[in-house]
Amino acid sequence: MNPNIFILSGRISYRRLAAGLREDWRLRGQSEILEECTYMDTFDWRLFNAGTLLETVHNNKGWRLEWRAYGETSPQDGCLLLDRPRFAADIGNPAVRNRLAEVIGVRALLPLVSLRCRRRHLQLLDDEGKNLLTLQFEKDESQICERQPGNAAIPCRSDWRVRLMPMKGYEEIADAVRTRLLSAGFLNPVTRDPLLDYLAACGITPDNNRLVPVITPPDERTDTAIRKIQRLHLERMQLQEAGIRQDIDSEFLHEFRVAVRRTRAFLGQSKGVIPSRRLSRFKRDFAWLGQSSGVARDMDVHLQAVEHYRAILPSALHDGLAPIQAYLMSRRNLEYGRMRRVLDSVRYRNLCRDWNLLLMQSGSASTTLPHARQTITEFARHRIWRTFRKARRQGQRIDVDRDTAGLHRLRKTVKKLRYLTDSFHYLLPPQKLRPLIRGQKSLQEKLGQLQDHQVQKRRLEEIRLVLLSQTGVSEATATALDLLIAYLDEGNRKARRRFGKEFRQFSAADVRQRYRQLSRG
Amino acid sequence: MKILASYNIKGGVGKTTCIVNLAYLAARDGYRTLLWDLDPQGAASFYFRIQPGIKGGLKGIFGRTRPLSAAIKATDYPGLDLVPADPSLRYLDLRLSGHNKPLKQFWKLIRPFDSEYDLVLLDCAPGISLASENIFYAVDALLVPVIPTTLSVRTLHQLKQYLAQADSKSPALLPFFSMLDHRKRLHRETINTLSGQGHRFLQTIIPSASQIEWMGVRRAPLGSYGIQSMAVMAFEKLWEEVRDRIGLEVGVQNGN
Repeated sequence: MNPNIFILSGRISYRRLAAGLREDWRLRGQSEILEECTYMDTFDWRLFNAGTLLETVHNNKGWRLEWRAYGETSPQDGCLLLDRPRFAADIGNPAVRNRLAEVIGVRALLPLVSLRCRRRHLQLLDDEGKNLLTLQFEKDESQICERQPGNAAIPCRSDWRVRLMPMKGYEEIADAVRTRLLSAGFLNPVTRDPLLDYLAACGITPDNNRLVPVITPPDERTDTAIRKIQRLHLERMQLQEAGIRQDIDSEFLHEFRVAVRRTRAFLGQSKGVIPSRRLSRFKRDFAWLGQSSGVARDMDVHLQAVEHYRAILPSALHDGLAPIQAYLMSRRNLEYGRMRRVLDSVRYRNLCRDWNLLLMQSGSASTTLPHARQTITEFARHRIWRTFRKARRQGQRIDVDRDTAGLHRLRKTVKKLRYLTDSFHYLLPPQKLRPLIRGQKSLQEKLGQLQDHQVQKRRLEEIRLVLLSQTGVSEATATALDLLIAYLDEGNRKARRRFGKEFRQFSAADVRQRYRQLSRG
Repeated sequence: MKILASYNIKGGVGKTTCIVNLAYLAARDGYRTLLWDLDPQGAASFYFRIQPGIKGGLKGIFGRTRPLSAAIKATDYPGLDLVPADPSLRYLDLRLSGHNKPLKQFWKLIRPFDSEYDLVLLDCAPGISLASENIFYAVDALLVPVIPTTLSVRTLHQLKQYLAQADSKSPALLPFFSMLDHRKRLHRETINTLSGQGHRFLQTIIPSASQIEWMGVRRAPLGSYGIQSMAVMAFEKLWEEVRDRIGLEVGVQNGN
């Protein structure tokens, strides 16, 4: 039960309630206004997961932002706005912008549900005229689900809600008023924040973007378990489509690509589990999807790196970044357009349909495939061990100063190892797995840095050539590009130096022994 | 979190008016602001219509039996809280001298609010005492209103001398002219003379205005009535200047 949100009893009016309070307190009433409130969160519910709710409110005076802790009625933060923001960066108020950015980062704010409601406020004052408590009366006029096609209108409640909004240091007043109004039968408590009801009416439950991981019985047949895991990847991939099409947030494309990579990693593990003749077409098609989305993702990463570039460069060169940013943005828009065409293509539609059909089939009882009837636990142990050995072999062969392709291959293998341990973690003893995952993550991070530096350097060199051939390069931009390329080169050198130590830790004899033990159960 | 005090050895120079208006403007700009009324006269509390008095008095707070947070009251302005004045502030020096490290007591009390507030403002009583030394230690800057008259300027020199000789760390000094009456030749000449001598006063000058005196009747910060006047603009300008000097991030203010 929320102690500060109530429904006004049917027979009680605003006037009657105010008259009841006037016996003990000075009151100041405000006239009724019409407001439109839109609740917003990021696609991955960062505000909700931080225990907060954010809404933009629009009335005849303009826009404002209200940000409150979940279950609280008084905003903990807020400011006036010129318009509904899409990112934290759109908020003009620097203090609020920074605090919001700490929680949502670069993620977009997505409207979830909008309410048109009639509101009026009643303030309780002391003898000095100080506000001690505000009561907010509100009645919904209409509710619109912002995440449904065509912004569907939904029937809404017809009763008046009352929110007690206590002031810091005067909480005892709120307690007294609550007791008084409840005992007089003026108010009925509500069980949860009305926002959850609004969302539920739209079919949204917080965190529903996050799919529940597949947990298969330890003795399940491998072909059945692998199909379940791949179905999850397919669902995760398809869940991102709308976000990519509408270009809501770069994270949708990122999640899409992770799902594609995981699908490909498990396709690579499916030999002897699913008939090979059926796999080759899907391997080709998912590789095509990965390639089609690669440059768009690169552009997102580069655009996010521009702020980092700004921090590195002297302020005199900051203007030189503008043409680089403009190029990245226009290329990004181009690539997102291409990605939308991919999602609309017959090839993509057929791929999803046929892949889903294959995953819905159950394995034959009389299959001759060598690993299909193996238990998923045996399969997981064996494949993790095999992939670790492969990574170890690849790493040992690398000449770190020259072998860029070898480092890239190793990065992909370590990623596959991560996907395997991540997907099968529930089948393996956590105390044995935890240190191994730490080692994988650490090596993967170093290899990722190497890759990022190389890709970013190549992209900056490409930008220099494009700008030279098209508009020419100003002195500030040319110097900025030179400094950034030198910085990335240096970063690359440092990352290569760190790689040796990191790989030695990853592949040490005792670590190998732990993987070996894990494979034996 | 930045800590700023409105301070002058001399009384009646506009310390409280200045800090009350700056606190309001800071909160309006989205900075989570706490104002502590350290003057037993309780004028800052009066402006915000908050009754003076802290449960357990200073004894509870400095004796750590009651947290300072329990004394905080929300004002009627979002993002602006206040620790009201208390009659026991008259014995503040006595209370502080009973501690092992008497100079750091304020700093120790305020520091835990680092994640809760962006700006803490202290409205100080006049005079130099152990309490003011505590404040010098705790704050990032001292905002010093100076009436352009001989006695007021003299107290600024005294403060500078005091800080130059002090053993502990010295805060930045942000003196500015306050209560300027353009009709008075002495005011005009004092400003000219001091500016010519290279003293580093803030650019903004707060005029003597009946609007400011009316604050006592309206019991609200100037900017909150929605009336534009020279005095309102002067405080807006002073706030911008102070914000830049103490290093709070500057941005475009929406909608206000």
